[in-house]
Amino acid sequence: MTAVNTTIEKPNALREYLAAAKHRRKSLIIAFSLGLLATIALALTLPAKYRSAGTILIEQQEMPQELVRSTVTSYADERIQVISKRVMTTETLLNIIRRYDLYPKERAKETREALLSRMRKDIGLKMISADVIDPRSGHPTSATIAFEVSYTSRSAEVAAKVANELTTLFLNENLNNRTQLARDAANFLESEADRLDHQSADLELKLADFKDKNLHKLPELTQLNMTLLDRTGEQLRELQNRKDSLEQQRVFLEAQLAQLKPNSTVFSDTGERIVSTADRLKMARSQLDTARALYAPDHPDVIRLQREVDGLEKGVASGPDAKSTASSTELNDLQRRLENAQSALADAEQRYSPEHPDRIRLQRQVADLKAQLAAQTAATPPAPAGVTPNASPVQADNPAFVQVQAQLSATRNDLAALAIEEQKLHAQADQYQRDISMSPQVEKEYRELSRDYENVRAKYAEIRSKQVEAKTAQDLEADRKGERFTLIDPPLPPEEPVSPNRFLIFVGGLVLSVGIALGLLWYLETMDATVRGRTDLFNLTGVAPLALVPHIGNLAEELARRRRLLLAAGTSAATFCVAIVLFHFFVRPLDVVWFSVARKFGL
Amino acid sequence: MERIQRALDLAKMQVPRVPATTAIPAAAAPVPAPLPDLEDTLAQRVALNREFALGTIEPIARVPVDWAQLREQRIVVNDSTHQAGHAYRMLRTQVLQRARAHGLTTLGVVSAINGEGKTLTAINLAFSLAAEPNQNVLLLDLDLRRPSIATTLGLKVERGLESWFGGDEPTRNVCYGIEGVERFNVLPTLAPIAGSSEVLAGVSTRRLFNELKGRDSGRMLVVDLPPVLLSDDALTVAPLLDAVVLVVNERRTKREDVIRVVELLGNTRIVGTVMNRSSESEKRAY
Repeated sequence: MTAVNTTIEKPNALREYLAAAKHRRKSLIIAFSLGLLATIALALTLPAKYRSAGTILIEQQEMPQELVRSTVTSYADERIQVISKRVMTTETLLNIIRRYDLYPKERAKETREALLSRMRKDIGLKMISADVIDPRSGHPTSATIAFEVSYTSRSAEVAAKVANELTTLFLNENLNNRTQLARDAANFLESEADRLDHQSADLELKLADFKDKNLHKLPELTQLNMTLLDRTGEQLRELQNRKDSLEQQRVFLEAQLAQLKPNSTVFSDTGERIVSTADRLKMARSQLDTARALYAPDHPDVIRLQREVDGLEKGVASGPDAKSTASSTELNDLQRRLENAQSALADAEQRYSPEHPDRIRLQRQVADLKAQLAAQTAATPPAPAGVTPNASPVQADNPAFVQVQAQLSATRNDLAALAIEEQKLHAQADQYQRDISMSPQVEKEYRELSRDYENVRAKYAEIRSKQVEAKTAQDLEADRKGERFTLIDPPLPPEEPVSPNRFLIFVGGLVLSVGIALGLLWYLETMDATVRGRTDLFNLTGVAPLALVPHIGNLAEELARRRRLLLAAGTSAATFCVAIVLFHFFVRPLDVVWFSVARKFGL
Repeated sequence: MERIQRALDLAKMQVPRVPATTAIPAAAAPVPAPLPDLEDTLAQRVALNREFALGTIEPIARVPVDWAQLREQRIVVNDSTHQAGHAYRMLRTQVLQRARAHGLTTLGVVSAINGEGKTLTAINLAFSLAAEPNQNVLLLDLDLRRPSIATTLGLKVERGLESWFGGDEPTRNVCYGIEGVERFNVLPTLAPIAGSSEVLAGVSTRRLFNELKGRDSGRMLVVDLPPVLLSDDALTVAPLLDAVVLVVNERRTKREDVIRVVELLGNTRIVGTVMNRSSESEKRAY
């Protein structure tokens, strides 16, 4: 074999594709035509859909906002959404479907939900916005100035009817909505005012109660309490001064009294001093004690002395206030005597042996006195309080003594009175002090209460004024002077369908058909196992072909080709004519197309 | 034997138009029939030699052909401006160069399957070769199953190779020239031959080849063969050929078929390939 080792360059890919396309032009044309035909069929057979829309303008409130402020403050588009939700309830939509006999075919076989979702899909709601400056914030924003309610249907008439119905629903619902909102606001404010009224009354009552309960502790009385406290302090000081002077006087008088004998000394004719019965009784008793210690109880001396004492006791007891005086005196005596005897006994115990007669005697005397004292104490009720121990148990008869005594007793009375008054003043001062110290605590509570009260009052007043405004706003809405929806462009039966866009479908189909043809070409080329090009042959056999013989045409072929060409031309012309006719009748009349084209080119 | 006798008769009858060539290596030729009972007379020898030296003598007849019809059959030899004619001339030149370089005289034209333009290539190549000065060409139709050279050329003859294989015709009788074409002879097959494979494998085929190629080294034998993959005919004949030209039809012949053909032809020299219906073609002749 001859060695032809020349490497053959790979031919241009694009040229290769073109060659392949040329070779397979028949299948490509068929695929392309089929795709295009299917597209045209689709574009022509898709049912036309008509869309009818009504434009509703959102008109601003007629009255200036400064005069009457509406209680409906939500943004228009927000409210439109709310209204649309209210309008598009299952019931409303089903009613419309029934009334206009919508979706007759689908109604037979689809569920209610499917129908409703169909309906919702066909209903369109489009906001129309304008760029404005928000008066509230001053920022540029887009405000909804109008909106469009539309309905899409296969029939222009039905589309218009349903769109009309929907528009009406929107208008009514807005009216209801606004009135309702205004009424709600007014009602709410009224009930709020009532509630605040009640609350303020309650607080008022509470405040009064509190004031009553903390009468002197109220913070506004603190100053007064302070003054009173000061004054009480002054009084107390004054009282103290008086008390001091009275005390001095009392001490002085007592000293004076101590120097005076209650009884003026009386002397008998013999010059003997006449001893009073009490003194004589004292003496007799001491003698009797001594005698008892010395002698046996039946000793004549003892008996005599006993008799004397008894006699004297009777004498003393007969005096005024004798009983108590006597008994107390007696008690005193006994006490004193016991003390004496005890000291003597202590002395004796140191000096003598226990068997010493003196000691024994003293012991007996002490025991005896103790017994007597015990008996006396049991018999005598305790001395009444207030009786000065220094008070002479005996009737004083010394005039100086009596005078001093009287003065002293007056002073004492004064002192007692002063003490009582002091006590009272102290109590008063304490009270003031307490009031003052309580005051901050009370003040806190008081402040809270009064603040609450004032708050409630203020709120009440505010709500009251708002209520009046709300009432006005309600009237505004009722009179339809507020922001309102106006139908400026009622839905009309459309003359042209909105979909399908047959031209777009056609163009898409064209592109798709080209794609299909190219895909087919690619597929065929990939699946093709035949020899293609000299490169291929070179690769297979290892040598380049000796000759590349092109297709040799002949007359018969040429004739056949011409026949085919004629046929193709005829077919194309016929197809074109049919397409034009179809376009004219199904898509758009040709004269319309002509005019629109002419307009575009400015003819 | 009978045939030889007939040949002798023929030789006696006809007056030779052209003197016999000087070098006639009759003894060296591998004659299949050793002719034991043949009288070794000079006359017989002369007659035989004459017949064997067919290539140098005029064929039995020059038949007219309708060139317009040939053009219709895509024979483009006379159309010097056609691209294909140019391509065939390129092919011819290359084939000739190789043939002369390697001493090839029998050239088969094969393809993987039918309908790839074998016969067309064979005829066009043969005409092209004949157009070369001093180049004798003999076109041989050995596609015995579907012979088509005769119909393609529109030869109005009565006998072809089928008669020769039938055994009652001298080779000369089935060899035709064509009017207006010098140095060109054709041995057509007019009808299919049953059992082609066996016929081709038989001794007579070998003898035919020997007869045709042995006499004149300057003569080129172009053999139209059946498709390689559709029968074993081509493979049977292959050993008798010096080389083959493989015809490939672009976008029709499968790659695997080409590979298979190359495999099957194994030992046979493939002088080159021809790409038919090529989308890329030789530059237009000027």
